[in-house]
Amino acid sequence: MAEILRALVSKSVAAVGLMAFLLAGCEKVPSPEFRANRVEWVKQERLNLEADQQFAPEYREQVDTLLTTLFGTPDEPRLPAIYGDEDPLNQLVSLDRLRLAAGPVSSDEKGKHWGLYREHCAHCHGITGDGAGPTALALYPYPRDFRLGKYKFKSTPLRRPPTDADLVRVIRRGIPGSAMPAFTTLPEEEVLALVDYVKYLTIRGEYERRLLAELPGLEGEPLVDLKALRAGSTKQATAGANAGANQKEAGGGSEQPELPAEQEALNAQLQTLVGEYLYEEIVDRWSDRDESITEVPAPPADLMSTAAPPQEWVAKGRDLFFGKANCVQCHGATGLGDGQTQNYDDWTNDWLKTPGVDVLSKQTYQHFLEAGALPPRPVRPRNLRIPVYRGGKAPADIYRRIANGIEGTPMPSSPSLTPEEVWAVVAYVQAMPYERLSGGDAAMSARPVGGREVSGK
Amino acid sequence: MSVIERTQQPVKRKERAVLAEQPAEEAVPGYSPWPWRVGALLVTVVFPLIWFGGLVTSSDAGMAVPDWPGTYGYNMFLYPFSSWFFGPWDFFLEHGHRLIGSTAGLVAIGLVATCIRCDQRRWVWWLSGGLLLLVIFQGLLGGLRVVIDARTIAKLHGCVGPAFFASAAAFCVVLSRWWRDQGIQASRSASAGRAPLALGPAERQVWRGAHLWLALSFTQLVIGAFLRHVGVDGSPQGFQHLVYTHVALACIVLGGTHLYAGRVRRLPGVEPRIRSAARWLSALVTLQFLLGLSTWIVKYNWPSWLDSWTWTAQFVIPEKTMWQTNIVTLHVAIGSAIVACWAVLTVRCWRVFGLAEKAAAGAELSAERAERWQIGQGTTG
Repeated sequence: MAEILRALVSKSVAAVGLMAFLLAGCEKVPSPEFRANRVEWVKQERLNLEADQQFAPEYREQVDTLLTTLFGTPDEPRLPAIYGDEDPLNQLVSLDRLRLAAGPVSSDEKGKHWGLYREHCAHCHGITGDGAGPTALALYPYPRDFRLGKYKFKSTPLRRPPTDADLVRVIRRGIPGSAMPAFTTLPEEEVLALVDYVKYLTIRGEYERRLLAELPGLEGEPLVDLKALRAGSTKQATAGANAGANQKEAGGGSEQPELPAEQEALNAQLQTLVGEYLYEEIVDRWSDRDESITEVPAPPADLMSTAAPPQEWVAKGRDLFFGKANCVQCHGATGLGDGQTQNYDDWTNDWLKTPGVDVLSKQTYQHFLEAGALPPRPVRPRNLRIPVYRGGKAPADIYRRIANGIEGTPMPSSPSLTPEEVWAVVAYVQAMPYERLSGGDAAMSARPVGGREVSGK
Repeated sequence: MSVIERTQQPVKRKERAVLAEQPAEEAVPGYSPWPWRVGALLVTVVFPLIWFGGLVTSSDAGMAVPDWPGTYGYNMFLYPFSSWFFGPWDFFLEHGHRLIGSTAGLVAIGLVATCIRCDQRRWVWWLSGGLLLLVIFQGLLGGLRVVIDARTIAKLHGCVGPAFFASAAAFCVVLSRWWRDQGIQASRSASAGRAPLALGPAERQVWRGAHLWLALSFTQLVIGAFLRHVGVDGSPQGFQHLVYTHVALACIVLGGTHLYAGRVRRLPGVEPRIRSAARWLSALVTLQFLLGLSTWIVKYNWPSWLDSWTWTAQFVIPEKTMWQTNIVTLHVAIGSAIVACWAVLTVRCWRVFGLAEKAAAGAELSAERAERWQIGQGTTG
């Protein structure tokens, strides 16, 4: 008995020792890195080079190094902050919040969380914010690719970035009928950290696209002097851009300390690459968002006098729907979203519109798929016969969707409609789920008719 | 060599083999319920352990305690109870998972000791030792998952846990009174000259089928673990393939389990415990299929082709709510329960059909002996 027990114990100890030895060989896994925008790279090649030509691979290294120098890594995000405390990027994005959202997922005894982006967002939106996280192909619609700087549901007009409140709202409320969840249980601090991280990824992504768009014009010259960039710290690099920016602000007349020729050349490069492309073209666009919010005019008094929209407003809206506003083109005569159904959103059109690409022939865009593009899927116009509106169901939300359109989609803005006409379309849109398609023009149902019932499927 | 000598040799080998396979408890009929009780306690502890583990993953709480084997510098067992129990949810889950895991390890040690003390079958001792090793291995995996924060280890940890649960449940069958009674019953039947259970093609199909479905259910669980622990830098194509495989295998396991249960139901004179396990499996697999659909919906919403209905189109995913985490975790826990059920059924099949096979071999042996005796009589007489 004792012998067997001894044998059992000694063999168990040996086996556990062996397991521990094998497992101890495992090293700490490297952190994920930002993925290069290879789709944009291929697109720029197709747009600007001969079919058999490619950009020099050194450019990739130059772009990556510049991005890492300015924006850091997923574990250690960074902001260029070339204007010190007054830097508009610092006012737009808080570095403390970024640190809360970045890095691997962890929490402490007090319940404070880090790595919020990887915990809540990265599986769909991707570590780079490219909308190509591991779950992307399984979802409809695809998760948002932040790098184009376009957001659908916002209070600002087309081509203007969303406000922080818009982003908070989408995170808090989610988007019905999509894989975007409602983060109702997250504390305010964490939601704001996610908002800042999304802005950070967006600006970084827009900047990468801007740099790649510059490659064709370089004609073999380097984008940036990597040797000089690596020789200096980030501070020096950004100070270089700052020096260039200050000089530009002062009209080139102020006295600057003399710099070595190499450093001066780098400063000049950074002044264009950072000062101009990043700050003037991208950061400035994000800086005055609150001033561009579309004000929703008060609805006409008689429109709001009853719970359901009055018939005359509904009839007026119906006329606009089929006429001047031309909603019928995509949403269809039935409003079931069965009009024009072969449109693509901007995230797909961005590379799908490249010359030589035919959506019907996969061979023509195989190289984009290999570069990481998600297969094209047509946009389905909203079925207006069900009372579900992804951007919010309040009349003011619907007003903004109609007046401003939906960024990145074929839904256009309506500059030709007067505010009163937009309200009329809002009234009709709100009435459509209750309108019977048969039995008279104005026949209304007491409850939503729903697409399936209407179509009789 | 004469004809008789040639026929005698293989018979001797077969005889030795049959005698060697006789279970030890048949020679010593004494039975202690203690190993079974401790085994049942182990299974009872491991199920909530799996549940907590599932909640840890669903809540992304794996790194809520950054050190291991200690907890924020404390010995794990000495960490202040109130700070843990009333602390943040993530910390409650992770530390709780570790405490239950340690309890499972202690019970597994107790099981080895009880088996050695109360059960005379040496192979049972070795099996209990194997279970202890498995739980230690699982503990090491859990610790390393924290120390090196690796998804691959998390996937392995997510697969070894259910494997241990299933092994412990199957081991309980070996320790049960039922196991002993089956042996005694078979011995009595043999000595009374009663015909053993006929082991026809249908019985063999049920026996083999149990192995097949156990393997497929575990494969399904492994794919599920890979889906749950997909890294943020994983490829969309890889995830999509995993989803398709998981769904296809879910349909196969669902259909196959119902067919299997139907076959067992139709089998005349089948052991009631095999029948009840098959019935349980039918119910669990159906529930699991529905939970799988629910898991997809609460994680990724309804399929887009269902968005013509108001109630699907307006659904918003309730991220990290109790509803979401518990539905997903229930899917994980029932998956483990299914594998455990198949393991129990497989071991029961081994016992029932294995004994029948041995009895048949014994009967064949007796017939050969009688024949040999008759031949011997004929030649010598």
